[in-house]
Amino acid sequence: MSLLEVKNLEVEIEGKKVLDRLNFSIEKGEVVALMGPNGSGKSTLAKVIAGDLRINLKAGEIIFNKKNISNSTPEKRVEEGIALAFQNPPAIEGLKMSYFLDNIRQKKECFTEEKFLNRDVNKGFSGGERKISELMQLTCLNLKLVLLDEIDSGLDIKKVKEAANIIKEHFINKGVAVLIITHHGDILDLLKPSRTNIIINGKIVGKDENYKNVLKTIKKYDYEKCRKCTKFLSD
Amino acid sequence: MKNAESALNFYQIDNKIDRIQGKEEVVILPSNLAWKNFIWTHEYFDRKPKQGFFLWVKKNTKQKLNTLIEITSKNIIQEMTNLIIIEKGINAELASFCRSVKRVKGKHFALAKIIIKENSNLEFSQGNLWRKEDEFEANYSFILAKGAKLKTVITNQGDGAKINTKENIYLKGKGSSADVRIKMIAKEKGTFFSESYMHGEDEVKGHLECSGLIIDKKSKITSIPGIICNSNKAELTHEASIGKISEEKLMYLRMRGLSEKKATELIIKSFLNS
Repeated sequence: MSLLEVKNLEVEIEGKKVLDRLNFSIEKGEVVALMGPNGSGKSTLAKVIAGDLRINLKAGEIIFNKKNISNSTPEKRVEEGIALAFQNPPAIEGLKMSYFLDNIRQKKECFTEEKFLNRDVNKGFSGGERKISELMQLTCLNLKLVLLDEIDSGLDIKKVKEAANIIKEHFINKGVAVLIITHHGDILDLLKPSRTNIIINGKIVGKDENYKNVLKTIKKYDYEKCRKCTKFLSD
Repeated sequence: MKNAESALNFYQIDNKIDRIQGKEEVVILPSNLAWKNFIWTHEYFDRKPKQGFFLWVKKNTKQKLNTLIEITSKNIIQEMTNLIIIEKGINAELASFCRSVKRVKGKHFALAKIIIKENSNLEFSQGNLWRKEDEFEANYSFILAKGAKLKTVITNQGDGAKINTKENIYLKGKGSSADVRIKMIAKEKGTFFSESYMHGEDEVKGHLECSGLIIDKKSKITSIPGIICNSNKAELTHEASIGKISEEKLMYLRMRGLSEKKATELIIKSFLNS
């Protein structure tokens, strides 16, 4: 049985269908990519899996490690081993990063960026700093699955490499499954996912074991015409 | 706690003074004794004091001054009249805390006057933590002379308490300035009524910020900030906001494995520190 199984997931936000009977799975220790245009439902899917209770499930279920976690609190899901690196994490003024890490820490050894420790959580962080900060927090948790929402967006090549190295060292090399959600796919060359899925209008419309095929197809047709993606993908 | 208590310059438990520790640079007395020993204090005390402390900073002191007033027994009434005087050209730092340590149905009434004389600087933090069925009323007046500076944060937390506070900051002397932040946290059906006024009497600068955080649906905060310019040379500004805990921040912390209770605690802490 897969580590994560998302079955017929339906989510509506303000009357608009954001996830539409979506099915999706990740195996233990697997590195999987999820690509899609803006508004396709990528971030919503990540948040729903990580337990954002502000999003209501209309139908479907999420099975993790053989347990139905569809109604579990977010903290329970972290305890089970799932956590999300946010695309746009909120700044929390007045909360020192070092104190925050001390409160969430489940592991002694984690990646630490010293220059963040004396600053308030995400306050005044550049886009790149936020991404590294998100990864730093996740490396302090005992996880089985990390969800990385646009971890490469807004980063220059050097920073994408830095993020990829942290992901490899602290997650992939340790057998933690990784879901890479990405719009343009810059990081895929560095992380080499074993499967790449395409999501459009809240549905997985195609997948391929070779991420390069997907990148080529998207480049050729753009997401706007990505219905054609399925022609090229070994679904 | 032993170490924390030993650093206290004034410590009152219920209606008994447990510790009072002045030094060469700072005179600290019970207010009623100051009234008796120093006739000149009568012009500052608004009433003959029954309780409270008199803190007179005469010379510069490197040490931060600390006071703590607690209610630990049931149905205690404290009627504090406090007078703090910072002499001319002094830099001083004072942290004052008042609280009930458990559910005691206590009443704490405080009338405090803080006089900051010419060219002095005072950094003052006042924390108040009151619990269910406690009543807390405070009236603070800050009076700043020429060139005096005040930086203060007053935090009032009411875990089910009824809290009524008033602050007046009088920027009287030319060149005086004040940065005043009032923070209120209402929990467990706690109610707040808070009035804060900054008065500009000359060429002065001042900023008043009042912010409230309501933790649950049954708590209430009324905040009335005001700036009163009695001189066309006074520059005064104010900000006020009352809000609930940000759902986004709460969810973010919970998605790092913290329980709802712990995440709320951290958000309150961040609010107090910001």
